[in-house]
Amino acid sequence: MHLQYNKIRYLLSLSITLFIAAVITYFGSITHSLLIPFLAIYMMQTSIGNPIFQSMQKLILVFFILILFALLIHSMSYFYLIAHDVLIGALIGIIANVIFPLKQPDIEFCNQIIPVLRQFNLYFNKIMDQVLQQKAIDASDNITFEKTLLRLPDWVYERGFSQTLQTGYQFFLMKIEHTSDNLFAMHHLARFPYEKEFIAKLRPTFLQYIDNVNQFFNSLATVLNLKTLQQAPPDLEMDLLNLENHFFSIVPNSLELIDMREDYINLAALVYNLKDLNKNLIMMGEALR
Amino acid sequence: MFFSKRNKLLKSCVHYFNTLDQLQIVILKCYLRRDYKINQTIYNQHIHKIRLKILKTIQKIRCLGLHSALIDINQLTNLYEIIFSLDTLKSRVKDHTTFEVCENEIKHITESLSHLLQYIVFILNKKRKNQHPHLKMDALITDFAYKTQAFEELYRSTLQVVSAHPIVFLFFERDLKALRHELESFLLRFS
Repeated sequence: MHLQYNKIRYLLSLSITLFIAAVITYFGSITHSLLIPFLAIYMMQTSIGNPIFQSMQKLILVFFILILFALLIHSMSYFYLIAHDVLIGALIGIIANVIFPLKQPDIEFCNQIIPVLRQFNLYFNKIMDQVLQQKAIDASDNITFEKTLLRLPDWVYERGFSQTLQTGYQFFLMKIEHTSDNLFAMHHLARFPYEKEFIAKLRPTFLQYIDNVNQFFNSLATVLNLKTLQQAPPDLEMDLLNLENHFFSIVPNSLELIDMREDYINLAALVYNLKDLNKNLIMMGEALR
Repeated sequence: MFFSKRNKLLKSCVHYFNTLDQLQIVILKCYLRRDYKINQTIYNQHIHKIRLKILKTIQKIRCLGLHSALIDINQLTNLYEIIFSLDTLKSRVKDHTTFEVCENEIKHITESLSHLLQYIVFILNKKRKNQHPHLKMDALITDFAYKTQAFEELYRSTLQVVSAHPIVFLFFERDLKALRHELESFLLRFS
């Protein structure tokens, strides 16, 4: 529904801009070529929340190419003729971008982040399944996760993006990327074989923790969807503390002893990754307050 | 037809290992840069760009090498996962000056790893031209193992004492060992 609305909006703004550009070409163009409509459309191709800065960058690039071309053919009068149309076309494109902004950055950021969070949650569950049931993740899950990371709203990193929004959005995106690093590290650790008895002892605490992480992911998605939370998000810090205490009641809490067994180290690394994941989720939650 | 697909696959693998090299350089450089805490966003953006390149390339390799016996996609996936795992250390060590203690070791590790990854690129390029390179991987693997061992020794002698959470350095060292193991088995497929 939202996508369709965006498409209609885009087509409408494109048609209006093309119409205005065509009329101006007919009445006021010097070259009487398609330069004005072409420049207007070219100037409109900017990323979300960045209409003026990127248009200006494009205009400078076009002028640079134009000057280079004029120097090559030794005709500055030709440059002045074209520059007139280029400027008009660019102006139409920039004004169109400002009057009909195609996507609102705040709405678009939420729309792009929610599916990412859901996918992170799914991948987290698959990894924990692999650890607890010693059953390898399907390759398709990896592919889906990789594709999700390729769809992150990285336009918030671009120069010229609204200064007021940028700091907060960049922070949120950075936390998302740190979480993805933890999930990658966890998947690497999940590949190791663990003693079944050992896993069986940890299973109930792990399951409790996974359940609460799922709830937290859902709460984040609900807030980003601008809906009210039906219940308070779970206390992840307390759950992690329980998990850690339980883990170190089974595994010796001494660096030298952990170092002696490969599965102790790998499981301890997994717990540390859960700790990082926890921290990132809580920070994301606080950023949304 | 078969050779063109094989060549495309090898070309994508060359790109993959080159990008993996860039990624490890950027990640390990973050530990050495004293301005990391101030310019965190800039470093993260750099990692983000390389992350996108890696993910795009692995997707391409998956399409090309779905039924190929030449490349084990699981192994390639594990390789980038380990490198991303190396990146987790920076958020775990609160005091960035701790890295000054192991600055030389990390510098040597990144250089040695870069040589190893570039050597894989060289081998894959030779394979593309149907040439059989004379493998000299032992020296490079041994060098990387030696650099990892130097880090391990530093961890046991100094980092365990000076770091607030020494266990995170142990995980880092284990990741380096896992990386060496994966690269070694990748190279063995070509020997």
